[in-house]
Amino acid sequence: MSETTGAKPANRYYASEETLVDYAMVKAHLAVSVIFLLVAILAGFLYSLQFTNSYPFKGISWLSPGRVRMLHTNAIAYAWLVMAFFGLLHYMLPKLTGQRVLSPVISRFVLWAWVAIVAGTVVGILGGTAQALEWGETPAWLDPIIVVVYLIMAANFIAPVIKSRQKHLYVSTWYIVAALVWTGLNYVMGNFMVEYVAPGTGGAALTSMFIHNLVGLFVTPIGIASMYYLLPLVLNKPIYSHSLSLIGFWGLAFFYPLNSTHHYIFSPIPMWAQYAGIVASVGVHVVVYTVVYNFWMTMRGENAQLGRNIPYGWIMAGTFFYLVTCIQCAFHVTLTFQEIIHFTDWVVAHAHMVLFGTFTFWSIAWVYYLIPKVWHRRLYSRTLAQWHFWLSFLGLLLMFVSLTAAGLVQGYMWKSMAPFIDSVRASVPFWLTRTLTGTAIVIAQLLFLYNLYRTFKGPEVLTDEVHIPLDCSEPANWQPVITGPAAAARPVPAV
Amino acid sequence: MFAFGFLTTGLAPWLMVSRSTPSTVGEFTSVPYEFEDYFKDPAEYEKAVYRGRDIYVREACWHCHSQYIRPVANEALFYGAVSTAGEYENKLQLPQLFGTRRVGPDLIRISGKYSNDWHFAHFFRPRDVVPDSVMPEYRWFFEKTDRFWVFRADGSSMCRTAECTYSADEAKDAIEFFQSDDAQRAQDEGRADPKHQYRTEPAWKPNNDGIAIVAYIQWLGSWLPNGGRPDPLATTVR
Repeated sequence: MSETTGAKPANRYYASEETLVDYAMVKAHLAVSVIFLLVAILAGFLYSLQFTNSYPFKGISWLSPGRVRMLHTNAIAYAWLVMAFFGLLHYMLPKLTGQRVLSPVISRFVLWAWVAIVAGTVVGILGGTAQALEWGETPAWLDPIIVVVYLIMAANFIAPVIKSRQKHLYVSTWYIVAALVWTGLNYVMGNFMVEYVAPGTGGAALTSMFIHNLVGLFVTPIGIASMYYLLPLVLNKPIYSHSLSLIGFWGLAFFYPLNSTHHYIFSPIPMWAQYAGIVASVGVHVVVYTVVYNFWMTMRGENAQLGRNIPYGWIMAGTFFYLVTCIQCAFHVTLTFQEIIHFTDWVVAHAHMVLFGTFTFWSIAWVYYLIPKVWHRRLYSRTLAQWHFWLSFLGLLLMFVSLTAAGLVQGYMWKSMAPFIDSVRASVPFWLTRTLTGTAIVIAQLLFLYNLYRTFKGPEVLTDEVHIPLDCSEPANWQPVITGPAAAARPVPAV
Repeated sequence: MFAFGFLTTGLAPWLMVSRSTPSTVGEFTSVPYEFEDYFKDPAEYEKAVYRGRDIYVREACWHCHSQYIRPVANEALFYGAVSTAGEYENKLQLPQLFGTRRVGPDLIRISGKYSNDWHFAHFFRPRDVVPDSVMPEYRWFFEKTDRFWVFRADGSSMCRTAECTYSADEAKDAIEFFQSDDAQRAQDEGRADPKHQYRTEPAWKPNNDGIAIVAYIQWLGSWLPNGGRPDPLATTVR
């Protein structure tokens, strides 16, 4: 783990024999991912202009708002989050398992292959070969390639877990391994069964599984795993309870795969399947409360850090949004809510809070955390970082309120049997607010990128010389800390 | 758990639906009379409907228009018959296009609600037909013809022919006529000559994509009488 022993470089990819982390890959993945983040958010902003009748590219087929919308959702999922998560896995997994990833050559291949896949997706969607699978509009001709690259990537990341001889895996490893296995199955199911095998209602049941599992069994477990890893580091203390974290994990494994039908409530899908989806979704309460309680008890007494510890602020805001969005989910899947809010902007608000408010916030916390750790640099400007946070935070909060209100207006107007266009007219002020808050979020990410650019142009400082103003120094001999019965096997290192 | 979830909430509903509900729609045995101008035989029409479906997917129409009617929120009164699983068991529903959002109205009961010409005008510039619509314009479903529209400066279209379009020469004549007519009328009414400005614009007609997408839209719900919409003469209101 430490690079200061002066040992000979083991090979061209690792600094020394003891180096576990392929730092070049962590850097490359994260750098590419933040650029993708900006692209994805810009696409969303552009799409929102259509709703206020100010879309700038009228009459250009490949920039039609419908296609740009697919670009927005797919870029957030496959370009920004997947890329960032690959980078985080490159950092976390070797440290969690004490083993390197399978092969640095594979890592580089997957990085470039994934960039090519993202480029192919952009060309495919804008060029008019999108697939009719929500959140999987990646052209059908790309799907087999993605599956192959995904399998290679999964082997690269699962290998260190298998090689590791630890008896007790930290909870992050549980989440990561499960997510990698689930997602492979899910991707094949969604992209091949829905596309070629199951029509109509059955296809909808499978589609709902795909949409839900992409968030529930890929983004959520890897996001939570990364927080179980990062939070103790940022606060320099062990996680509150290892047992609780395992309840959260098994709760997720038990409830999330059964949730999916709640995306098509009141559709022709057999009603018993819809009920099953609703009951399992309410069970998600168990998962959310254990995870959030665990995080909050770990955060307890650390409020003084909020002002100066930048990653901590992002983690805390992300956790807050995670709680809000998951409580909301467990309620709005019920038939009572669904009657009004289904098909409305309420759901759009929810989706933004999940993917931006929670998982994007957490991933941004990681980027801030890794600047001193991996790039060995001081952050260029704390003020810009504060602006980045508050514009994103308030922008998202307002967007959420605005779209949720719009959802209620739309739902009740439809039920009142008013002409459809009346609900559109009534929504315009809310959509305008959405565009304005979106502008704030775009500006925030531009400041972020500028801040990062200036940081990387700045001088490199040796790791141990950095007095990190973010309070996120990592002890050289750090390992994830386990409390409870397992603590005997992995004693807490003296800090 | 993933396998269990797949079996219970994915595979089981699919098998249940596909075994219990025979495919009843999606057979193209004749060309509807509204499309006789465009298609000679049913096979051609069927091909266009499939092509329309692909365009519907390509342009992500399904991101803003759902395709199922729920038994709640007065939807049966507003749109028409509540959707049943059997309606979706055919090849045109592979992949399914249920949709999850309604920025625009649901489309599964749209067949015959508007004329083809309404749809063409709407695709060309939705706000001409539905003021305040937020639907994008789909200019690439249309191609320019060698004929022209004549507009007055206030935007009103000027008609002297049956189709309101003119060849280049006719347009020139028509504008001269309109201007002299304006002058004559002003003189008759004792006003000053208003000197109206006129302009021409190339006339557009739907290309194969435009015809295909409208064929598909008009197919949605066509398997039910009156497109599945509530009988306008029914007097029972809940």
